[in-house]
Amino acid sequence: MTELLARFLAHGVPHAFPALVGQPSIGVLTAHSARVFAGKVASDERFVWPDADGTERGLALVPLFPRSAKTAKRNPALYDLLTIVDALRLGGARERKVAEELLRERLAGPEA
Amino acid sequence: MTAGTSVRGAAALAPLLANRDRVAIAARAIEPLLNRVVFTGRQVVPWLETSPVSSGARPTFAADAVVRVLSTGALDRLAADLRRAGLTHAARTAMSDRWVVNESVTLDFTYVSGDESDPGAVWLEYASLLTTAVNVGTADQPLSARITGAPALVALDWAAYRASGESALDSGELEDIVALVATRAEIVREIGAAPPELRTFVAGETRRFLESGSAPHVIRSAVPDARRLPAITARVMERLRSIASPG
Repeated sequence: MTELLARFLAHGVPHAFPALVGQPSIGVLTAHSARVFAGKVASDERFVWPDADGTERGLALVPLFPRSAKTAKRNPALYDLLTIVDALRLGGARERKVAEELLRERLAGPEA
Repeated sequence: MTAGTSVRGAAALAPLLANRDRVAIAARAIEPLLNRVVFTGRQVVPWLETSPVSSGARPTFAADAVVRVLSTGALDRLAADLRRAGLTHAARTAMSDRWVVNESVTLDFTYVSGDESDPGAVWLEYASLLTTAVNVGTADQPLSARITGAPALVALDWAAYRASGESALDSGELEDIVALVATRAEIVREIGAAPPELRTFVAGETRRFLESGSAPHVIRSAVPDARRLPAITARVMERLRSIASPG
């Protein structure tokens, strides 16, 4: 089941829910700008979910569901997963490879 | 939020430098040897982009920490000079030597043998011969180094793509080719003026790519502006058609 979910998120979601990028905004970092990609991908271009309480600035990326930005504080594990899925929706081949590795790592559960 | 705090193993991470900075640091570290080597690979692309069409703020990856350097001289002869320059030898394979500049920059020196019986070596040889000199330093402190020119870099990427066996939609090399075609208008003329062997190889691979029908998708993935501006996709497609059908 986990394998099917990983495949759907990696190869289905980017086509079913392609990334929509808008104007610069304050918000919460997402896609390969998010903390989970630190040390793996770096870019001058940053992406955020627009949020009035956000502390970062970047190009607005429409989140998969409206309250995604609030998960950063309330549920960090879910936040990380949502940012990984955004990288799959937004990124090129190399970003998607890194994101898929992170996704599978997270879905596999905590390290022993 | 602190970058990297939740990433497993983040404590061991070195700073992730932009490719331009990596090459600059690498070149400065081996300055006395610069007339004997050629920088190549994805890291040199920023010096080849001449058009304002954006391929996005090109991300850098942990895998990019290794800067690729080609040498037609024997690696053993380079070794003494590299040690003298303060680099540390890290590993050796049949055709390449890995040297460390610092925690963020590693160099892979590949020996270009010029052995015509090795079909895989021919594109490396072109990459070491068809070069262009660029300033990898700053305006205040210029530093001239040779990098692989656009036609040979495209050939190298096509060869890597074919060797990888990846699908067109999953290939970083293919995205690099498309991004370079999008950001360098003169590439059609340059490939047209390249040696016949290289021109024929690139034309054939480009033709196969166009016939696969995946080109528009790869363009939109490699050139973010193309998602908003369909005219960019049309322009890149036109360049690819010209490369595929050299006059």
